[in-house]
Amino acid sequence: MDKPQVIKVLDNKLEAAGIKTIKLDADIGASAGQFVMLWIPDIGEKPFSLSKVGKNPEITYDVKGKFTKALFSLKKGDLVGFRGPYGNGWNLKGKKKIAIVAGGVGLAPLMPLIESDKDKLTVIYGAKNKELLVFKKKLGKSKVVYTTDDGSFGKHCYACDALGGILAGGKYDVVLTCGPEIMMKKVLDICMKNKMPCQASLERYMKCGIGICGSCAIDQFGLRVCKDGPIFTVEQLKNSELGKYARDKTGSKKKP
Amino acid sequence: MLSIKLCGVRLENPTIIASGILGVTAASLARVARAGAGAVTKKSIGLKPREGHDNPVMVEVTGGYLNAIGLPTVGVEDTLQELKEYKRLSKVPVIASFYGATADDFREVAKRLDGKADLLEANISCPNVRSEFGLSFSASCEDAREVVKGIKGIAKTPLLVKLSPNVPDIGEIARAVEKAGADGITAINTVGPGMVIDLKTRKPVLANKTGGMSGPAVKPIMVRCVYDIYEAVKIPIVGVGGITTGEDAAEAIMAGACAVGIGTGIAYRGIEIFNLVKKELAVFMKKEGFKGIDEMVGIAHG
Repeated sequence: MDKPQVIKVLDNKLEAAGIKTIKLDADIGASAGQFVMLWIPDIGEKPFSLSKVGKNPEITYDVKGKFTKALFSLKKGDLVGFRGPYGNGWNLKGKKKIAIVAGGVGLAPLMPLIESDKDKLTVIYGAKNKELLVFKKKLGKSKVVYTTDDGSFGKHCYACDALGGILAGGKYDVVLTCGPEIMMKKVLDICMKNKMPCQASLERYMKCGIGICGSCAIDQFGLRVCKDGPIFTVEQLKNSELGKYARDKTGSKKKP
Repeated sequence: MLSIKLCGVRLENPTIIASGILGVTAASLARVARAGAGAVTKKSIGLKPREGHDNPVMVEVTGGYLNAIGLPTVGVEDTLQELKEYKRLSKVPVIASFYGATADDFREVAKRLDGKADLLEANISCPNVRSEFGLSFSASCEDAREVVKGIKGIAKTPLLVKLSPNVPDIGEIARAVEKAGADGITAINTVGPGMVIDLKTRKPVLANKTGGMSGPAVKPIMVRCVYDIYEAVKIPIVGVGGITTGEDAAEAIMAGACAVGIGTGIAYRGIEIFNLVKKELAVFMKKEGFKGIDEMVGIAHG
């Protein structure tokens, strides 16, 4: 049923300034890349990717607005609602060698993949600075190229800037990306140039979450981020609105 | 076999995407048209930009959903661009749904939309904006008549008027809008409104607290409303409410509808629902010996 199920918060751990991971007392059998709608009564309802699926699932998020501020203040034992999981998840059929490009908490929807299959993956993981590389510990021994905008850790560049070198140095079946829209747009452009299959996880203003209201439909094919996505292939995103505009609550075009 | 004429506009088949469903952007409507809809409806347009209600705006219940989206709109100016873009993308007729807080608003929006869509649909029956806009215009003959007269005095595009089922006598309202010049009637808007309370947090789930009911459970209410309206007026009727299969569509048509709106059904059967309903309707008609939709319209009467 598309109705919030109310559960207890098990933990809401501070990862870095403005970033927390909330752990829920639920069992959400989702595939990697799917999302849930979280509900806080009197505050609102918003979509969040799961950074851990299954029993006691987790969501890593940064504070952006009213909803995430309220989420940030939740403590162990507090109640929160969720519905879902929704969306399509990453499609890895027949993909053996995978490169990931993620910025900031954009690595969240990729973490279930990384934790289940470390060997197949090469990860490029960037953030503004060393402190904001919040998944560093969990990545453990995976093959990771770190980048920071300020050079405080790893390569001194954006995550997308390291992709060219990785693709030149090995053969990959697909590139998966999630993070700031500008970064994803660059990743898609690089992949298109290299004729490399690519999937990107998009974010748009969502209302119903079940593919009916049309709020999160993207141009130019009218694909719904909540139902047809949130993960789209490079072909689906050709000449799309990505990197150009996104729509707000009214439906007006705004900068992404 | 499935083609119809609705207020002079030819539709290749009688399925229409209902207002408020996948109707925010031109690209989204064009996609629904590609999926097989006979016409598409641009989500209700207001005079000025409006955000609508906070999330959650939708919650599932037994037999359907409650929703309270709250009439978000980019406003009529930006919508004109979106309609232009839709016309570039698709040849399938488009209905522009619109609303106003006052009869003057309705007239103003209708004036700007005139000639920019194949049909207009005055939404005088949204159940989710009562606290701001007051009781809907479709709750009284006098209010409904005033709004429709105003629109007809200024806009030449054929006008559908969308009615609420939440009235004691929908036939009476239908007669009033027909007399005021409406070219057709869309019935029904959502039912109720209803409410869902979460037991653990002890709070209504919807941010607006209440929301209009749609989905399979409201279909018998739609069928009765269409039946009553057919008895009351001569103008064509678009049946909307809980239609999920071709046989549901046939039922609405037998009650008196010449076209059918589909909305919540997408939650159950996906965007493919248009092709599925068309196929199922054609199979039913063949089996029963109907050669065209016209032969079936209102056949349940008399």
